[in-house]
Amino acid sequence: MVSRVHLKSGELTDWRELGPVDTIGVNSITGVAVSADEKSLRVFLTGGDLRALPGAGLAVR
Amino acid sequence: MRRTEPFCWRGKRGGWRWRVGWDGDAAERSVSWLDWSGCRRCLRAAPWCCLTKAERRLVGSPRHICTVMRSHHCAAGYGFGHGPFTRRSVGAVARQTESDAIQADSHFRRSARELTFGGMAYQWAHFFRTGGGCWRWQMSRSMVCGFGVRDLEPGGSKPVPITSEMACAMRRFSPDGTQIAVLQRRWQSYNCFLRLGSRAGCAFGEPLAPLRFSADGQWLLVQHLKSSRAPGLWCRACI
Repeated sequence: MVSRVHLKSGELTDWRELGPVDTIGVNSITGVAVSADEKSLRVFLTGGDLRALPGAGLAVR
Repeated sequence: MRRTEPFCWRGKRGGWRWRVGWDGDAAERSVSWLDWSGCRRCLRAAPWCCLTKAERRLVGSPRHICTVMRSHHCAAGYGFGHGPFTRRSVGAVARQTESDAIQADSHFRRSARELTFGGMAYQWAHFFRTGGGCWRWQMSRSMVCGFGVRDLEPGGSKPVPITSEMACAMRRFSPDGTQIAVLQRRWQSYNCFLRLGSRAGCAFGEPLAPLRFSADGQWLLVQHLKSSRAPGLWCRACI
């Protein structure tokens, strides 16, 4: 889950929910990088070899 | 009394030792830092490795730590009994922690120059780097007086000085260079204004890793570490 924080008010609003389609075998999301225009994301996962399986894509909600 | 300053000092054989959670403030937060202290794959270093046996006894059950952390770590690709949580590699973790601290310190000194923050951050970092002392402690406290982060808790105002510890874990500078968002090793997130005398900032009750400031510096994208780290553990339990 990635949220936006308004720094003056402290308001926390959901922005994107990231995660693999199939969470089995995925250990954790170790990092998220956001582009400057906030339109592209790069997600780092640790999960052994399951990432290489077909269909184990990334879902952005 | 609630300790507001993170506290660390040099161990006898080098490295850093961090005193965490011993006064019960971990219980006051919604998430105990121990649950999310991470392994070396998740965060640069695991501070509990550097705790003494007595401190470990104070902060929680060793069985819980071993079970959670070792299974997590094995899943991350290390074999059973290997990785940074074995006895043999504790020294390596301590060295890594120290190198992190030194790296953050040099980063902070550079940032301090660039942002004309003066030597104050450096003085404070120097205090931690050298292990501290009474006169250094007092000097550092007086030098950072007026600079802090205010809790969002109603009626609560606790100054938290920027330290090398805060700069260690995860940090993001705003595009205009006036703010820094940091995630402490104790898994508290702060947003600080890099201007003396300005009292502002956010403190969150759950570990949020700063990702990016918006262009106008009003918003900050953060990653919920709790939900990011937990699925792996639950998956293993299901298997």
